[in-house]
This record gives sequence, structure tokens and C-alpha cells, in this order.
Amino acid sequence: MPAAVLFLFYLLVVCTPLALAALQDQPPRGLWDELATGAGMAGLAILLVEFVLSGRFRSISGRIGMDVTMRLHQLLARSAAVLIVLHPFLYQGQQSLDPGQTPPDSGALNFGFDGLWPGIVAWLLLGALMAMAIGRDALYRHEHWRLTHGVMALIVAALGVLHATRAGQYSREPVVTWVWASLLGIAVLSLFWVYVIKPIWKRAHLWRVSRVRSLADRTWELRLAPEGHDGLRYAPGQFAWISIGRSAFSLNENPFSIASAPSDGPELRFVIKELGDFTNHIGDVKTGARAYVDAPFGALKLAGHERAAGICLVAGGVGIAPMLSHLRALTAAKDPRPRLLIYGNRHTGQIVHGEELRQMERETPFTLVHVLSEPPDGWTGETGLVRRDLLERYIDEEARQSWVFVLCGPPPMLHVVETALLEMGVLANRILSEQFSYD
Amino acid sequence: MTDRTSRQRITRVFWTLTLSVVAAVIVFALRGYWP
Repeated sequence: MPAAVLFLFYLLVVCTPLALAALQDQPPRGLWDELATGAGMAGLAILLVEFVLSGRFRSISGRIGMDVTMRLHQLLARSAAVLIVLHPFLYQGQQSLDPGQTPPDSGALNFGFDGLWPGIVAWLLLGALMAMAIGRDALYRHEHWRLTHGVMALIVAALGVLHATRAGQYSREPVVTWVWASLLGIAVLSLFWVYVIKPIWKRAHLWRVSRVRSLADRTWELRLAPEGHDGLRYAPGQFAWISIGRSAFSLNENPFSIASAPSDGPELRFVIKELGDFTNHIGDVKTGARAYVDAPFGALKLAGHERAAGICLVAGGVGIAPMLSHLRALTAAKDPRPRLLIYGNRHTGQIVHGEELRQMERETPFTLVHVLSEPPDGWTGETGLVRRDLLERYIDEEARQSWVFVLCGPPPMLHVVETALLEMGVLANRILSEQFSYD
Repeated sequence: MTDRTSRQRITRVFWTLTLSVVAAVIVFALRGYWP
């Protein structure tokens, strides 16, 4: 299913409660009251669909990319919040004198406490949820954040549905109530899938750490071997959520790009830089430690680009991991197409798998360009940051028209490179990129 | 559209979805005002 169809389906789902309300044989109330009701219903529908935009569903993130999924999740949550915050303030109509007994044709509003309290609590909790989401990096450990975010979001959604079906003039109709219940059911199932079903599956598909070694400055290689199963089916360029030495039900997982190629065998290889809580201690992980893998994710795949005349890979720092996967797969497949790797680092101590890359350069149609922002004395390679002038020197007119471009690295670098490639005439659909932070 | 960066495309998708929903809310609210 193409991404555009996915987005149309999203709109269809979000607008369904509104459409069913409009089709009811009830005379519309005043403009502001209808706007208030519409905003509340649309906001609640967006909120309920947020659960499947959590990034853990391959049918979505595999099509539009994990970073796109997560960014849309964050942005659409803001739309839902604006609609829901406005919802109570837009009402201007007359209050029902007999709470809970608003006849459909009275035009009065049902302010009965039974229907109102879930809405008020959900409205206040939503504010807290948003504040926690904005301050999550500073305030919480990742696993605590995931748990509180998921549980609070579910409480907000359930209270929102309760409010809509008790207080709402339209949502009390069975067909609309059924739609709300279905959306809430999907939200509950999505959490159940992520926090119960997947961990059970992961426990039955155990991995063991087969090797941990230092590759470069604060950068490690982690290898995982499947235990009692055939391993993972993945495409080069994809990534995995990994937890090591914890329960399969642990919420403490980290995403890492797979650096091995499927042709290398069942063992998975990762390149991990010390960047946070878990990664700072990656060097202490013992061989044989239990590991759980939730994968594959990500859309940084060359599938669909088989007719590209060549492949240009641009990596910044640990963004080399998916590029290694691609290069290893292309080498193993004896792919005759030319490939170019532009590999940016601060200094030579950060370069990983330098010898393997040099060997590829000798044995395959592969050009390697190192770019260092802090080069050592006597460095004869490229210096500075990966910018347009550098790209123009290595990517000729023919490549701009016929190659596919794969980018992975820190967001500022990706933005500069992507903008430069577009200005150089590369078509957007030939540029694949995935950044490794979402904000 | 082929001339946008991925960040611009995400923003465009977001605004398209959000404005479509807002338009649906407005149409819903105004439905009593046309014959």
C-alpha cells in the first residue's frame, strides 16, 4: 500500500465519527455548538489513532519510515490537543435543564455530571500528558517515560470515549458508540500487542551476545546470535530494538541499525556509539548475555531501486551502520553497480571498519571518501563538513540523474545533504534518509 | 512534488492531514446552513 493510500485511510478513520454524526437525523444546533462538538470528536479520533502511530507497527513505519511515523505521531498529537483544548470553550448554547435528558431536537446541551466528569478529567490529564511528552528527555528515564506515556494516553482515551458517549448528542447513537468502542479497542490491542504479545514472542526467540569489541573512539561492535531459532529476516538498512540482560517484558529497549547483511548468516552485527544510559555501558556487556530483538524496522531499503545505475551512501558518524549493511549485501551479491560512500567523522579515531572498506574499494566498484572535520596533521583527504561543494565534486551529472542516494546521520547533516542533493537536481524519490533522533 | 526535503514533506503531510480534519469539522458545523 503506497504511503498516500495510508494517509487517505488515516483521514477516513479520523473523519468517520463526524460523518456518522452528520448523517444522523438530528437538526443541527448553533454554529459554535456544532464546531465545539466537531472539534471534540475529531480531536478524540486523532488521539485514538495515535496508538497505532507509535512506531512499533511495521505495516506503517516500514512504508513511511520510522522517523516520519514518529514525527507525525508527535505533530498530530499537537493537533488533537488544540482541538480538545478548544472543545469545551466553543460551546455557547443553552444548558439542558434536565441533565442527561437532552432530547435530540431540543438544541440544549447536556451538562449532566455523569457525562461531564470523564471529559474534565481526560482534558486535564491530556495537558499533563503533553507537558510530560515535551519534557521527557530531561525528566524521565526512557522506560519510565514509555510506561507512563502509554498508560496515561490510554486513560485519557478511555475517559474521552466515556465522555463522548455519555455527554455527546451524536455519540450516544449506537453506530457512533460502536465506532468509538472499536477505535478504543484497537488502541487497547495495540498496547497489548506491544507490551504483552511481542515480549512473549521475543522470549520464545532468544538471542545471545556472541561478541562485543571496541571498534573506534567510544564506538563498539555488538554481535548477537540466535538461540534455538533461525534468526531474523531483514533487508539491508533496517534497524532493531534491542534489550540486553533484562526481561523480555522490559520497556528499556534501544534502536540500533543492523550493520550486517542478511547474506552474512544468522548473526546480527551492530555498530553502537556511547550516547546515553545503555550505550555508555555497552563495553561491559558479557559474551553469552541474553538479548531480545524486536525487528526489523525502518525504510532505508534499496528495494524498488533495482534499476538505479549506482548507489551513493552518505553517512555521518555511527550512521555508517546501515551503510555497512548495504555495502556488505552488495558485495556478497556481486552487484556490478558503482557505489560511492561519503563518510563524515570528526577525527580518524572515529572511523570504523576502515580496513574492510579499503578492501571493498580494492575488490569491488566502490569509491570511499572520508571527510574529517578535525583532520590530523598530514591528512590528505577531504576536510570540513559534508556540504554541497564536496558532493558536487564526487557526484557527476549522470549520477545525479540515475543513482539512488542513501543518507544516515545526525539531523543537521542530513538536512544539509538532502537540500544540496535536491538543489543539484536529484529527484526526491531517489533520496532515502533516516535520522537517528526524531526531534 | 519532488523538490522537497523529507522534513518539508513530513510538514506538508502533517498540515494536509490537520487542515483536512479542520475542514471536515467546519463542514460538519455548517451543514445546517445550506439548503
